[in-house]
Amino acid sequence: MAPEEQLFMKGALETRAPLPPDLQRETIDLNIGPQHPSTHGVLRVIVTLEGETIVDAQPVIGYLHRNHEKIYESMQYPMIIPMTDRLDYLSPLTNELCYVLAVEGALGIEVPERAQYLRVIFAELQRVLSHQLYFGTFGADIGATTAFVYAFRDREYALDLLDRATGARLLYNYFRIGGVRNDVPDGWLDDLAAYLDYLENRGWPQYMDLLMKNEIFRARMEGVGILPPDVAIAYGASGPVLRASGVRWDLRKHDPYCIYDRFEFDIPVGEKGDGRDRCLVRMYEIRESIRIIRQALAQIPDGPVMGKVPRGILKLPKGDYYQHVDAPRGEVACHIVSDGGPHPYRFKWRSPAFVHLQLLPYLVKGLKLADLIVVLATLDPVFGEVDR
Amino acid sequence: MTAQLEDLRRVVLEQFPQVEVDPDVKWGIGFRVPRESLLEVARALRDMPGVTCDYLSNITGVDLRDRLQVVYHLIGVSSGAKVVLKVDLPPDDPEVDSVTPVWPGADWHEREAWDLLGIRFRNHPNLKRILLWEGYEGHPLRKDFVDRRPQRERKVRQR
Repeated sequence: MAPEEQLFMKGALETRAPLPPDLQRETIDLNIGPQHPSTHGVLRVIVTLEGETIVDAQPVIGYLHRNHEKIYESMQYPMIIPMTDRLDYLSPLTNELCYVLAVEGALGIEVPERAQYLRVIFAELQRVLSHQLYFGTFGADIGATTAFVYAFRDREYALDLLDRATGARLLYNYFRIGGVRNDVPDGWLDDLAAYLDYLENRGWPQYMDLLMKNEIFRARMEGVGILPPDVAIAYGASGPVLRASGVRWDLRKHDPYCIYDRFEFDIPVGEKGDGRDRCLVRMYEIRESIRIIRQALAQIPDGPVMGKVPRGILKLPKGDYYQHVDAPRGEVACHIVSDGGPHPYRFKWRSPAFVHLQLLPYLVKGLKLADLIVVLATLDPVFGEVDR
Repeated sequence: MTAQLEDLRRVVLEQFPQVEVDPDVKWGIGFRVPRESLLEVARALRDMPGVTCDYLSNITGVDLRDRLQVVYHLIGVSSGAKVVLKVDLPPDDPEVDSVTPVWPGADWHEREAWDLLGIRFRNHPNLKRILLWEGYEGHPLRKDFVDRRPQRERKVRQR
Protein backbone atom coordinates (compact mmCIF):
# COMPACT_ATOMS: atom_id res chain seq x y z
CA MET A 1 0.00 0.00 0.00
CA ALA A 2 1.33 3.44 -0.90
CA PRO A 3 1.97 5.79 2.05
CA GLU A 4 -0.84 8.05 0.84
CA GLU A 5 -3.28 5.18 0.88
CA GLN A 6 -2.05 4.03 4.25
CA LEU A 7 -2.82 7.46 5.63
CA PHE A 8 -6.21 7.33 4.00
CA MET A 9 -7.00 3.93 5.42
CA LYS A 10 -5.46 4.59 8.82
CA GLY A 11 -8.71 5.54 10.48
CA ALA A 12 -10.61 2.60 9.11
CA LEU A 13 -7.93 0.11 10.08
CA GLU A 14 -7.45 1.48 13.56
CA THR A 15 -11.10 1.23 14.46
CA ARG A 16 -11.13 -2.44 13.48
CA ALA A 17 -7.99 -3.37 15.40
CA PRO A 18 -8.48 -4.48 19.02
CA LEU A 19 -7.85 -1.61 21.39
CA PRO A 20 -5.29 -1.88 24.21
CA PRO A 21 -7.11 -2.22 27.53
CA ASP A 22 -5.53 0.92 28.99
CA LEU A 23 -6.69 3.08 26.09
CA GLN A 24 -9.57 5.17 27.31
CA ARG A 25 -10.14 7.46 24.39
CA GLU A 26 -9.65 6.82 20.72
CA THR A 27 -9.28 9.17 17.81
CA ILE A 28 -10.35 8.49 14.27
CA ASP A 29 -9.05 10.02 11.06
CA LEU A 30 -11.72 11.33 8.77
CA ASN A 31 -11.00 12.25 5.19
CA ILE A 32 -12.88 15.24 3.79
CA GLY A 33 -12.52 15.91 0.08
CA PRO A 34 -10.83 16.24 -2.37
CA GLN A 35 -14.24 16.84 -3.85
CA HIS A 36 -16.61 18.33 -1.38
CA PRO A 37 -19.25 20.95 -2.12
CA SER A 38 -18.10 23.29 0.61
CA THR A 39 -14.36 23.27 0.06
CA HIS A 40 -14.63 25.78 -2.82
CA GLY A 41 -12.48 23.68 -5.07
CA VAL A 42 -10.41 20.60 -4.66
CA LEU A 43 -9.10 20.54 -1.12
CA ARG A 44 -8.62 17.50 1.02
CA VAL A 45 -8.53 17.78 4.79
CA ILE A 46 -7.45 14.88 6.98
CA VAL A 47 -9.23 15.48 10.26
CA THR A 48 -8.33 13.66 13.46
CA LEU A 49 -11.41 13.46 15.61
CA GLU A 50 -12.04 12.57 19.21
CA GLY A 51 -15.74 12.03 19.24
CA GLU A 52 -16.91 15.08 17.40
CA THR A 53 -14.08 17.34 18.57
CA ILE A 54 -11.26 18.13 16.19
CA VAL A 55 -7.83 17.19 17.51
CA ASP A 56 -5.97 17.99 14.32
CA ALA A 57 -6.77 18.94 10.74
CA GLN A 58 -4.17 18.71 8.00
CA PRO A 59 -5.02 20.26 4.63
CA VAL A 60 -3.68 18.38 1.61
CA ILE A 61 -3.36 20.56 -1.48
CA GLY A 62 -1.99 20.30 -4.98
CA TYR A 63 -4.96 18.85 -6.82
CA LEU A 64 -5.10 21.88 -9.13
CA HIS A 65 -1.35 22.26 -9.54
CA ARG A 66 -0.31 23.30 -13.06
CA ASN A 67 3.12 24.71 -12.19
CA HIS A 68 2.44 28.16 -13.55
CA GLU A 69 5.91 29.20 -12.50
CA LYS A 70 7.51 26.65 -14.79
CA ILE A 71 5.23 27.56 -17.69
CA TYR A 72 6.16 31.25 -17.36
CA GLU A 73 9.83 30.40 -17.79
CA SER A 74 9.18 29.68 -21.46
CA MET A 75 6.86 32.66 -22.09
CA GLN A 76 7.56 36.23 -23.09
CA TYR A 77 6.49 38.93 -20.68
CA PRO A 78 3.27 40.14 -22.39
CA MET A 79 2.13 36.51 -22.84
CA ILE A 80 2.02 36.01 -19.08
CA ILE A 81 -0.85 38.47 -18.44
CA PRO A 82 -3.71 36.11 -19.42
CA MET A 83 -2.02 33.32 -17.45
CA THR A 84 -2.22 35.37 -14.24
CA ASP A 85 -6.02 35.38 -14.55
CA ARG A 86 -6.05 31.64 -13.95
CA LEU A 87 -4.52 31.91 -10.50
CA ASP A 88 -7.13 33.60 -8.39
CA TYR A 89 -9.96 33.23 -10.85
CA LEU A 90 -12.37 35.14 -8.63
CA SER A 91 -10.23 38.27 -8.72
CA PRO A 92 -8.15 38.09 -11.91
CA LEU A 93 -7.69 41.84 -12.24
CA THR A 94 -5.67 42.20 -9.06
CA ASN A 95 -3.33 39.41 -10.21
CA GLU A 96 -2.87 41.18 -13.53
CA LEU A 97 -2.29 44.44 -11.69
CA CYS A 98 0.43 42.93 -9.53
CA TYR A 99 2.20 41.47 -12.54
CA VAL A 100 2.05 44.54 -14.78
CA LEU A 101 3.21 46.77 -11.92
CA ALA A 102 6.23 44.53 -11.40
CA VAL A 103 7.20 44.65 -15.09
CA GLU A 104 6.55 48.39 -15.35
CA GLY A 105 8.65 48.99 -12.26
CA ALA A 106 11.50 47.00 -13.77
CA LEU A 107 11.37 48.79 -17.13
CA GLY A 108 10.48 52.24 -15.77
CA ILE A 109 7.36 52.58 -17.93
CA GLU A 110 5.09 55.56 -17.29
CA VAL A 111 1.38 54.83 -17.23
CA PRO A 112 -1.00 57.58 -18.46
CA GLU A 113 -3.33 59.21 -15.95
CA ARG A 114 -6.56 57.85 -17.41
CA ALA A 115 -5.19 54.31 -17.34
CA GLN A 116 -4.14 54.78 -13.71
CA TYR A 117 -7.68 55.73 -12.78
CA LEU A 118 -9.19 52.93 -14.83
CA ARG A 119 -6.90 50.46 -13.05
CA VAL A 120 -8.04 51.63 -9.64
CA ILE A 121 -11.70 51.54 -10.73
CA PHE A 122 -11.38 48.02 -12.09
CA ALA A 123 -9.34 46.71 -9.18
CA GLU A 124 -11.85 48.03 -6.67
CA LEU A 125 -14.82 46.79 -8.70
CA GLN A 126 -13.08 43.42 -8.64
CA ARG A 127 -12.84 43.62 -4.87
CA VAL A 128 -16.56 44.34 -4.65
CA LEU A 129 -17.31 41.37 -6.91
CA SER A 130 -15.04 39.05 -5.01
CA HIS A 131 -16.52 39.97 -1.64
CA GLN A 132 -20.03 39.62 -3.04
CA LEU A 133 -19.21 36.13 -4.18
CA TYR A 134 -17.71 35.47 -0.78
CA PHE A 135 -20.92 36.61 0.88
CA GLY A 136 -23.00 34.33 -1.34
CA THR A 137 -20.94 31.18 -1.07
CA PHE A 138 -20.29 31.71 2.61
CA GLY A 139 -24.03 31.89 3.18
CA ALA A 140 -24.44 28.66 1.25
CA ASP A 141 -21.73 27.04 3.36
CA ILE A 142 -23.44 27.77 6.64
CA GLY A 143 -26.84 26.80 5.27
CA ALA A 144 -28.27 30.24 4.53
CA THR A 145 -28.85 29.63 0.85
CA THR A 146 -30.86 32.81 0.30
CA ALA A 147 -27.67 34.86 0.58
CA PHE A 148 -26.37 33.16 -2.53
CA VAL A 149 -29.32 34.39 -4.59
CA TYR A 150 -28.97 37.96 -3.35
CA ALA A 151 -25.24 38.08 -4.02
CA PHE A 152 -25.52 36.65 -7.51
CA ARG A 153 -28.39 38.95 -8.40
CA ASP A 154 -26.14 41.96 -7.79
CA ARG A 155 -23.01 40.35 -9.16
CA GLU A 156 -24.71 39.88 -12.51
CA TYR A 157 -24.98 43.66 -13.14
CA ALA A 158 -21.30 44.13 -12.41
CA LEU A 159 -20.33 41.19 -14.59
CA ASP A 160 -22.30 42.76 -17.44
CA LEU A 161 -20.39 45.99 -16.91
CA LEU A 162 -17.07 44.16 -16.99
CA ASP A 163 -18.23 42.23 -20.05
CA ARG A 164 -18.96 45.48 -21.88
CA ALA A 165 -15.57 46.97 -21.03
CA THR A 166 -13.29 43.94 -21.35
CA GLY A 167 -15.25 41.41 -23.38
CA ALA A 168 -15.19 38.70 -20.73
CA ARG A 169 -17.11 37.80 -17.61
CA LEU A 170 -14.54 35.75 -15.76
CA LEU A 171 -10.99 36.00 -17.12
CA TYR A 172 -10.59 39.57 -18.30
CA ASN A 173 -7.07 39.92 -19.70
CA TYR A 174 -7.52 43.69 -19.53
CA PHE A 175 -4.44 45.30 -18.03
CA ARG A 176 -1.41 45.74 -20.24
CA ILE A 177 2.21 46.56 -19.56
CA GLY A 178 1.97 50.35 -19.89
CA GLY A 179 -1.75 50.84 -19.39
CA VAL A 180 -4.99 49.05 -20.13
CA ARG A 181 -6.07 47.31 -23.32
CA ASN A 182 -8.88 49.63 -24.37
CA ASP A 183 -10.79 52.60 -23.08
CA VAL A 184 -14.21 51.92 -21.62
CA PRO A 185 -17.23 52.30 -23.94
CA ASP A 186 -19.28 55.52 -23.98
CA GLY A 187 -21.58 55.85 -21.01
CA TRP A 188 -19.86 53.02 -19.13
CA LEU A 189 -18.67 55.22 -16.28
CA ASP A 190 -22.21 56.59 -15.78
CA ASP A 191 -23.62 53.08 -15.69
CA LEU A 192 -21.00 52.13 -13.13
CA ALA A 193 -21.98 55.11 -10.98
CA ALA A 194 -25.63 54.03 -11.20
CA TYR A 195 -24.66 50.51 -10.17
CA LEU A 196 -22.72 51.81 -7.18
CA ASP A 197 -25.75 53.85 -6.08
CA TYR A 198 -27.91 50.76 -6.35
CA LEU A 199 -25.42 48.63 -4.47
CA GLU A 200 -24.88 51.07 -1.65
CA ASN A 201 -28.53 51.96 -1.11
CA ARG A 202 -30.22 48.64 -1.79
CA GLY A 203 -27.89 45.68 -2.20
CA TRP A 204 -25.43 46.22 0.60
CA PRO A 205 -28.02 47.01 3.33
CA GLN A 206 -29.85 43.85 2.30
CA TYR A 207 -26.69 41.77 2.81
CA MET A 208 -26.31 43.21 6.26
CA ASP A 209 -29.95 42.67 7.23
CA LEU A 210 -30.09 39.20 5.76
CA LEU A 211 -26.99 37.70 7.29
CA MET A 212 -24.69 39.92 9.29
CA LYS A 213 -27.30 41.24 11.70
CA ASN A 214 -29.18 37.95 11.75
CA GLU A 215 -29.49 36.54 15.27
CA ILE A 216 -28.95 32.94 14.17
CA PHE A 217 -25.91 33.89 12.13
CA ARG A 218 -24.38 35.75 15.05
CA ALA A 219 -24.95 32.86 17.40
CA ARG A 220 -23.32 30.55 14.86
CA MET A 221 -20.32 32.69 14.05
CA GLU A 222 -19.35 34.60 17.16
CA GLY A 223 -16.31 33.15 18.91
CA VAL A 224 -15.70 30.53 16.21
CA GLY A 225 -12.13 30.29 14.92
CA ILE A 226 -10.55 33.11 16.91
CA LEU A 227 -7.28 34.36 15.47
CA PRO A 228 -5.20 36.60 17.79
CA PRO A 229 -3.28 39.41 16.04
CA ASP A 230 0.22 38.18 16.97
CA VAL A 231 -0.51 34.70 15.63
CA ALA A 232 -2.00 36.18 12.46
CA ILE A 233 1.15 38.20 11.76
CA ALA A 234 3.50 35.33 12.63
CA TYR A 235 1.69 33.07 10.16
CA GLY A 236 1.81 35.73 7.46
CA ALA A 237 -1.93 36.34 7.30
CA SER A 238 -2.85 39.41 5.30
CA GLY A 239 -5.83 41.21 3.88
CA PRO A 240 -9.23 40.77 5.54
CA VAL A 241 -8.02 37.84 7.66
CA LEU A 242 -5.34 39.98 9.31
CA ARG A 243 -7.54 43.06 9.54
CA ALA A 244 -10.32 41.08 11.22
CA SER A 245 -7.85 40.38 14.03
CA GLY A 246 -7.59 44.10 14.66
CA VAL A 247 -4.36 44.87 12.79
CA ARG A 248 -4.83 48.03 10.72
CA TRP A 249 -2.55 47.09 7.84
CA ASP A 250 -3.41 47.63 4.21
CA LEU A 251 -0.85 47.79 1.42
CA ARG A 252 -2.98 50.39 -0.37
CA LYS A 253 -2.21 52.73 2.53
CA HIS A 254 1.10 51.47 3.91
CA ASP A 255 2.98 50.76 0.70
CA PRO A 256 0.91 52.66 -1.87
CA TYR A 257 0.98 51.53 -5.47
CA CYS A 258 -0.89 52.93 -8.49
CA ILE A 259 -2.51 56.14 -7.29
CA TYR A 260 -4.12 54.91 -4.09
CA ASP A 261 -2.47 57.72 -2.13
CA ARG A 262 -4.86 60.18 -3.84
CA PHE A 263 -8.01 58.65 -2.37
CA GLU A 264 -9.55 58.85 1.03
CA PHE A 265 -10.72 55.61 2.55
CA ASP A 266 -10.77 53.82 5.88
CA ILE A 267 -9.42 50.39 6.74
CA PRO A 268 -12.15 48.40 8.47
CA VAL A 269 -10.80 46.20 11.26
CA GLY A 270 -12.39 43.59 13.49
CA GLU A 271 -12.31 43.40 17.26
CA LYS A 272 -12.02 39.75 18.20
CA GLY A 273 -10.72 38.07 15.07
CA ASP A 274 -13.48 35.45 15.03
CA GLY A 275 -15.43 34.20 12.06
CA ARG A 276 -18.02 36.96 12.25
CA ASP A 277 -15.34 39.64 12.23
CA ARG A 278 -13.80 38.16 9.11
CA CYS A 279 -17.19 38.36 7.37
CA LEU A 280 -17.92 41.86 8.59
CA VAL A 281 -14.53 43.22 7.52
CA ARG A 282 -15.20 42.00 4.00
CA MET A 283 -18.66 43.55 4.02
CA TYR A 284 -17.32 46.94 5.12
CA GLU A 285 -14.55 46.70 2.54
CA ILE A 286 -17.26 46.66 -0.14
CA ARG A 287 -18.38 50.05 1.14
CA GLU A 288 -14.85 51.44 1.20
CA SER A 289 -14.29 50.20 -2.35
CA ILE A 290 -17.45 51.98 -3.46
CA ARG A 291 -16.05 55.12 -1.84
CA ILE A 292 -12.78 54.80 -3.73
CA ILE A 293 -14.50 54.18 -7.07
CA ARG A 294 -16.74 57.23 -6.55
CA GLN A 295 -13.70 59.44 -5.95
CA ALA A 296 -11.97 57.97 -8.99
CA LEU A 297 -15.05 58.57 -11.13
CA ALA A 298 -15.11 62.20 -10.03
CA GLN A 299 -11.44 62.76 -10.84
CA ILE A 300 -10.84 60.65 -13.96
CA PRO A 301 -9.36 62.73 -16.81
CA ASP A 302 -9.59 62.16 -20.55
CA GLY A 303 -6.59 61.01 -22.50
CA PRO A 304 -4.77 57.97 -23.81
CA VAL A 305 -4.89 54.65 -21.96
CA MET A 306 -1.56 53.22 -23.13
CA GLY A 307 1.84 54.65 -22.32
CA LYS A 308 5.07 54.37 -24.28
CA VAL A 309 6.31 50.78 -24.20
CA PRO A 310 9.65 49.78 -25.78
CA ARG A 311 9.15 48.26 -29.21
CA GLY A 312 10.15 44.72 -29.99
CA ILE A 313 10.56 41.89 -27.51
CA LEU A 314 10.45 43.10 -23.91
CA LYS A 315 13.55 42.24 -21.91
CA LEU A 316 13.84 42.99 -18.22
CA PRO A 317 17.27 44.15 -17.03
CA LYS A 318 19.19 41.57 -15.01
CA GLY A 319 18.14 41.53 -11.39
CA ASP A 320 15.20 40.65 -9.23
CA TYR A 321 11.95 42.49 -8.85
CA TYR A 322 9.27 42.20 -6.22
CA GLN A 323 5.83 43.76 -6.23
CA HIS A 324 2.98 43.28 -3.84
CA VAL A 325 -0.60 44.51 -3.99
CA ASP A 326 -3.58 44.23 -1.70
CA ALA A 327 -5.93 41.79 -3.40
CA PRO A 328 -9.39 40.94 -2.03
CA ARG A 329 -7.92 37.86 -0.34
CA GLY A 330 -4.78 39.44 1.02
CA GLU A 331 -1.29 40.22 -0.10
CA VAL A 332 -0.61 39.01 -3.63
CA ALA A 333 3.02 39.37 -4.62
CA CYS A 334 5.14 38.34 -7.55
CA HIS A 335 8.89 37.91 -7.53
CA ILE A 336 10.56 37.99 -10.93
CA VAL A 337 14.20 37.01 -11.32
CA SER A 338 15.51 38.09 -14.70
CA ASP A 339 18.77 37.20 -16.40
CA GLY A 340 18.29 39.88 -19.04
CA GLY A 341 16.58 37.55 -21.50
CA PRO A 342 13.10 37.67 -23.04
CA HIS A 343 11.70 35.14 -20.53
CA PRO A 344 11.60 35.34 -16.75
CA TYR A 345 14.45 33.26 -15.31
CA ARG A 346 12.39 32.47 -12.25
CA PHE A 347 8.90 33.59 -11.36
CA LYS A 348 7.31 33.14 -7.97
CA TRP A 349 3.79 33.97 -6.87
CA ARG A 350 2.96 34.67 -3.28
CA SER A 351 -0.70 33.87 -2.97
CA PRO A 352 -2.62 34.80 0.17
CA ALA A 353 -4.88 31.76 0.21
CA PHE A 354 -1.86 29.43 0.22
CA VAL A 355 -0.62 31.15 3.37
CA HIS A 356 -4.03 31.39 5.03
CA LEU A 357 -4.72 27.71 4.59
CA GLN A 358 -1.82 26.98 6.96
CA LEU A 359 -3.89 28.59 9.69
CA LEU A 360 -6.62 25.96 9.40
CA PRO A 361 -5.11 23.48 11.93
CA TYR A 362 -4.55 26.31 14.41
CA LEU A 363 -8.07 27.67 14.03
CA VAL A 364 -10.09 24.48 14.19
CA LYS A 365 -8.27 22.66 17.00
CA GLY A 366 -10.80 21.96 19.74
CA LEU A 367 -13.82 22.93 17.68
CA LYS A 368 -16.53 20.57 16.49
CA LEU A 369 -16.42 18.95 13.08
CA ALA A 370 -19.29 21.10 11.82
CA ASP A 371 -17.19 24.21 12.49
CA LEU A 372 -14.44 23.07 10.14
CA ILE A 373 -16.37 24.01 7.02
CA VAL A 374 -17.39 27.34 8.51
CA VAL A 375 -13.85 28.26 9.56
CA LEU A 376 -12.51 27.20 6.18
CA ALA A 377 -15.09 29.40 4.49
CA THR A 378 -14.09 32.44 6.56
CA LEU A 379 -10.56 32.12 5.17
CA ASP A 380 -12.03 32.38 1.65
CA PRO A 381 -9.52 30.19 -0.19
CA VAL A 382 -9.47 29.95 -3.99
CA PHE A 383 -7.69 26.84 -5.13
CA GLY A 384 -6.48 28.24 -8.40
CA GLU A 385 -4.02 30.33 -6.43
CA VAL A 386 -3.35 27.88 -3.63
CA ASP A 387 -2.14 25.20 -6.02
CA ARG A 388 -0.94 27.45 -8.84
CA MET B 1 17.05 55.12 1.70
CA THR B 2 15.26 56.30 4.79
CA ALA B 3 17.01 56.92 8.09
CA GLN B 4 15.26 53.91 9.57
CA LEU B 5 16.71 51.55 6.96
CA GLU B 6 20.11 53.19 7.36
CA ASP B 7 19.96 52.39 11.08
CA LEU B 8 18.90 48.84 10.34
CA ARG B 9 21.79 48.38 7.93
CA ARG B 10 24.29 49.69 10.47
CA VAL B 11 22.99 47.54 13.32
CA VAL B 12 22.89 44.35 11.24
CA LEU B 13 26.40 44.88 9.84
CA GLU B 14 27.78 45.62 13.32
CA GLN B 15 26.13 42.65 14.91
CA PHE B 16 26.89 40.22 12.09
CA PRO B 17 30.20 40.99 10.35
CA GLN B 18 29.71 37.98 8.05
CA VAL B 19 26.60 39.57 6.46
CA GLU B 20 26.96 41.72 3.33
CA VAL B 21 24.62 44.28 1.82
CA ASP B 22 23.24 43.24 -1.57
CA PRO B 23 23.25 46.33 -3.81
CA ASP B 24 21.01 44.67 -6.48
CA VAL B 25 17.97 44.64 -4.25
CA LYS B 26 15.63 47.55 -4.96
CA TRP B 27 12.82 46.46 -2.66
CA GLY B 28 13.80 47.86 0.75
CA ILE B 29 17.23 46.68 1.82
CA GLY B 30 18.90 43.40 0.90
CA PHE B 31 21.42 41.30 2.81
CA ARG B 32 23.49 38.34 1.70
CA VAL B 33 23.62 35.94 4.61
CA PRO B 34 25.89 32.87 4.96
CA ARG B 35 23.71 29.85 5.56
CA GLU B 36 25.20 29.10 9.00
CA SER B 37 23.99 32.41 10.43
CA LEU B 38 20.56 32.62 8.76
CA LEU B 39 18.59 31.64 11.85
CA GLU B 40 20.44 34.12 14.09
CA VAL B 41 19.97 36.96 11.60
CA ALA B 42 16.30 36.08 11.15
CA ARG B 43 15.73 36.09 14.91
CA ALA B 44 17.60 39.37 15.32
CA LEU B 45 15.54 41.00 12.57
CA ARG B 46 12.28 39.78 14.02
CA ASP B 47 13.11 41.08 17.49
CA MET B 48 14.94 44.26 16.45
CA PRO B 49 13.34 47.23 18.19
CA GLY B 50 11.95 49.84 15.82
CA VAL B 51 11.89 47.70 12.69
CA THR B 52 10.55 44.34 13.93
CA CYS B 53 10.33 42.30 10.74
CA ASP B 54 7.52 40.20 12.14
CA TYR B 55 5.82 39.40 8.83
CA LEU B 56 7.27 36.96 6.35
CA SER B 57 5.91 37.82 2.94
CA ASN B 58 7.49 35.18 0.76
CA ILE B 59 10.22 32.59 0.35
CA THR B 60 11.54 31.95 -3.14
CA GLY B 61 13.98 29.26 -4.13
CA VAL B 62 16.03 30.05 -7.23
CA ASP B 63 18.24 27.70 -9.21
CA LEU B 64 21.13 29.85 -10.48
CA ARG B 65 22.88 26.85 -12.12
CA ASP B 66 26.18 27.29 -10.22
CA ARG B 67 24.34 27.63 -6.91
CA LEU B 68 20.90 27.54 -5.38
CA GLN B 69 19.52 30.57 -3.65
CA VAL B 70 16.76 31.10 -1.11
CA VAL B 71 15.27 34.59 -0.98
CA TYR B 72 13.24 35.78 2.02
CA HIS B 73 11.05 38.88 1.75
CA LEU B 74 10.27 40.38 5.16
CA ILE B 75 8.01 43.24 6.19
CA GLY B 76 7.61 45.03 9.50
CA VAL B 77 3.88 45.44 9.91
CA SER B 78 4.15 48.28 12.42
CA SER B 79 7.25 49.96 10.98
CA GLY B 80 6.74 49.36 7.26
CA ALA B 81 10.37 48.23 6.88
CA LYS B 82 11.12 45.98 3.91
CA VAL B 83 14.05 43.59 4.13
CA VAL B 84 15.30 40.91 1.75
CA LEU B 85 17.60 38.09 2.86
CA LYS B 86 19.47 35.99 0.31
CA VAL B 87 21.17 32.74 1.18
CA ASP B 88 23.40 30.94 -1.32
CA LEU B 89 23.61 27.16 -1.19
CA PRO B 90 25.97 24.79 -3.02
CA PRO B 91 24.06 22.60 -5.52
CA ASP B 92 25.51 19.35 -4.15
CA ASP B 93 24.37 20.07 -0.58
CA PRO B 94 21.39 22.42 -0.71
CA GLU B 95 20.50 22.53 2.96
CA VAL B 96 19.66 25.51 5.15
CA ASP B 97 18.11 25.99 8.57
CA SER B 98 14.34 26.21 8.58
CA VAL B 99 12.96 29.56 9.74
CA THR B 100 9.72 28.00 11.02
CA PRO B 101 10.78 28.66 14.66
CA VAL B 102 10.96 32.37 13.81
CA TRP B 103 7.94 32.66 11.49
CA PRO B 104 5.58 29.66 11.65
CA GLY B 105 4.08 30.79 8.34
CA ALA B 106 7.31 29.73 6.60
CA ASP B 107 6.18 26.10 6.86
CA TRP B 108 4.42 25.73 3.50
CA HIS B 109 6.76 28.09 1.66
CA GLU B 110 9.66 25.85 2.65
CA ARG B 111 7.78 22.72 1.73
CA GLU B 112 7.14 24.24 -1.68
CA ALA B 113 10.83 25.08 -2.13
CA TRP B 114 11.68 21.47 -1.23
CA ASP B 115 9.01 20.13 -3.56
CA LEU B 116 9.83 22.18 -6.64
CA LEU B 117 13.55 22.88 -6.18
CA GLY B 118 14.86 20.21 -3.85
CA ILE B 119 16.14 22.56 -1.18
CA ARG B 120 16.26 20.85 2.21
CA PHE B 121 15.37 22.74 5.36
CA ARG B 122 17.00 21.50 8.54
CA ASN B 123 14.66 21.03 11.53
CA HIS B 124 11.55 21.60 9.46
CA PRO B 125 8.61 19.95 11.27
CA ASN B 126 7.14 18.23 8.23
CA LEU B 127 9.31 18.45 5.13
CA LYS B 128 7.17 16.62 2.58
CA ARG B 129 6.09 17.38 -0.95
CA ILE B 130 3.18 19.77 -1.00
CA LEU B 131 2.06 20.55 -4.55
CA LEU B 132 3.25 17.36 -6.21
CA TRP B 133 2.58 13.92 -4.87
CA GLU B 134 4.82 11.73 -2.74
CA GLY B 135 6.82 9.51 -5.02
CA TYR B 136 7.29 12.10 -7.76
CA GLU B 137 10.80 11.98 -9.18
CA GLY B 138 12.85 15.15 -9.50
CA HIS B 139 12.22 18.79 -8.77
CA PRO B 140 10.61 20.54 -11.75
CA LEU B 141 11.92 24.07 -11.19
CA ARG B 142 15.55 22.92 -11.28
CA LYS B 143 17.15 24.06 -14.51
CA ASP B 144 18.46 20.56 -15.23
CA PHE B 145 15.03 18.95 -14.80
CA VAL B 146 14.06 16.64 -17.62
CA ASP B 147 10.41 15.86 -18.23
CA ARG B 148 10.32 12.10 -18.70
CA ARG B 149 6.71 11.92 -19.81
CA PRO B 150 6.23 10.75 -23.40
CA GLN B 151 5.76 13.53 -25.96
CA ARG B 152 2.14 14.18 -26.75
CA GLU B 153 1.05 13.80 -30.32
CA ARG B 154 0.51 17.14 -32.02
CA LYS B 155 -2.76 17.41 -33.85
CA VAL B 156 -2.53 19.75 -36.83
CA ARG B 157 -5.55 20.35 -38.99
CA GLN B 158 -4.78 19.93 -42.70
CA ARG B 159 -6.49 22.34 -45.03
